[in-house]
Amino acid sequence: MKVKIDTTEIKDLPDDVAALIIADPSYNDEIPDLSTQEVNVLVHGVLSSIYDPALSFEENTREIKHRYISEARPNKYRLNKALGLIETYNKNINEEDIGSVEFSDMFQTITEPLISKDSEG
Amino acid sequence: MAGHHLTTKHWEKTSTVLVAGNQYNVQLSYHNIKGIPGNVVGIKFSDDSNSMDSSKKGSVNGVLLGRVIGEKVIRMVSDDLNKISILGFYLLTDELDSRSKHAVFVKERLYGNQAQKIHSYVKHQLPVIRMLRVKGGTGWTMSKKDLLDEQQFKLLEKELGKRLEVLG
Repeated sequence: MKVKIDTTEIKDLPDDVAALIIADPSYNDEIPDLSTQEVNVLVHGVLSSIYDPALSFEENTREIKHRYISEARPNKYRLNKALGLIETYNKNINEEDIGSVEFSDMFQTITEPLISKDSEG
Repeated sequence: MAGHHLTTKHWEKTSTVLVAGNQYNVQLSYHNIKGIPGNVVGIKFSDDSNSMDSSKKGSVNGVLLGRVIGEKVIRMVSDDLNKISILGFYLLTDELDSRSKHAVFVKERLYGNQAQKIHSYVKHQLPVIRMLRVKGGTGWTMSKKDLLDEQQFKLLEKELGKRLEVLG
């Protein structure tokens, strides 16, 4: 899967590793039919938490794969679904859009308080 | 009218990060909840204008954006971590649902990973990490005591005025 860890070069994250990120064995939910941009946001967004800039890209790839596989046994059905989404992403994504997100793709701005005025004592 | 009689937000701090020339804010709000020692701290994120209109903002690299914001949260909470009993953030999932088909799925994953990352830096003080579902939202908490501990759970449920479901 084509990724950009920073704004410079396109790297090739092995599809099986990208699929593990999308399928994440610690969840059991059904993977929806994510759009190309949603795959883009999901994979780069997860990488933002788990990619270690102190390691090389290859070392990160190994660490990430190990992390997911050691957590739980990956479900083949979910992995295949994820691989299909990655294939579509690779076909459709424009180079300049790889890794590119809006703030609101990754974060929700919340202005109202969690505790409402109506909550009872 | 400020706050509920069981809780007071008594302090707030906001810090700014810069990513590719765009400015974003991380805000921590400190609350007291009767029955819970120390502070209950909520984390919020926004772009600098706090506006729904993102047309002025450029796109940024997602790996950089998430990393910089996560690191900022960690630095901000590290200053007074010993005074925090519960740390958390949440998504309003009803609002997300209405705007984009799979936004809840994507953001829950991203927030869950951010929570794990932050927790790895605070777990010596806040060892327990939980994902909670409430009506209209999903939250992630890091705490000294397990929220499944009956008293803490009941206090939080009462405070939020909502039923809590702890997922893991």
